[in-house]
Amino acid sequence: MAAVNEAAGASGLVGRNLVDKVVVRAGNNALTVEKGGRRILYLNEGVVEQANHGMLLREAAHELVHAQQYAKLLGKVGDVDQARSAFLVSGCSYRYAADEFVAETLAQRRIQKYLGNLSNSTLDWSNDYISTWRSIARARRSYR
Amino acid sequence: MQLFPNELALANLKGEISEDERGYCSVDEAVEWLKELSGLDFGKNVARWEEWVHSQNKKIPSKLADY
Repeated sequence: MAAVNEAAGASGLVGRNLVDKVVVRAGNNALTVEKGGRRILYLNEGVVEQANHGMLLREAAHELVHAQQYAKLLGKVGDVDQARSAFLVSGCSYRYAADEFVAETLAQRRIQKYLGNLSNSTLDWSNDYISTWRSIARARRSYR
Repeated sequence: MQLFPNELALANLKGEISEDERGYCSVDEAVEWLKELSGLDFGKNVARWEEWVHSQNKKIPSKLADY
């Protein structure tokens, strides 16, 4: 999909090295890794159809950071099954919250640098997302 | 859209996140998480939790409406 390739380029990445397939669906955005290692980037159809260009690129860039996080895990453990297990963390975990605020922070920086600016609504949403997950991560770190 | 914590917890309560996805947690964990986030206790009552999440102004329709 063009937006994912553009977001990858804006992030200094090569999309096909990080993602095997892009799927537009009714559900939430996600980067999943199937058994066997196929990496699928899902984008919400409402975002693809209605969001402005900056928001769409930011959403794609966010999932690409998760693809980078998986690639880093794979490089570390060297085994697809182990890397996949480590990547598919529970939403209730510290790791999930930490990965979310890192992914959004990087996505926002990368797309803002690429486009020169983001709309106020996109920036407000993104900042809210970062601060919310950061506060969750901080709370969870204390009882990790 | 990426999901805020309350949205992710609700999606898990509704069974919308598969075990093969990052962010999955059990229904019981989702309920505990919603209770922690809200200070409320609606048990496994999806409708009540949906009402609460929508009241938090972080739902998809309101986000998209701004663009």
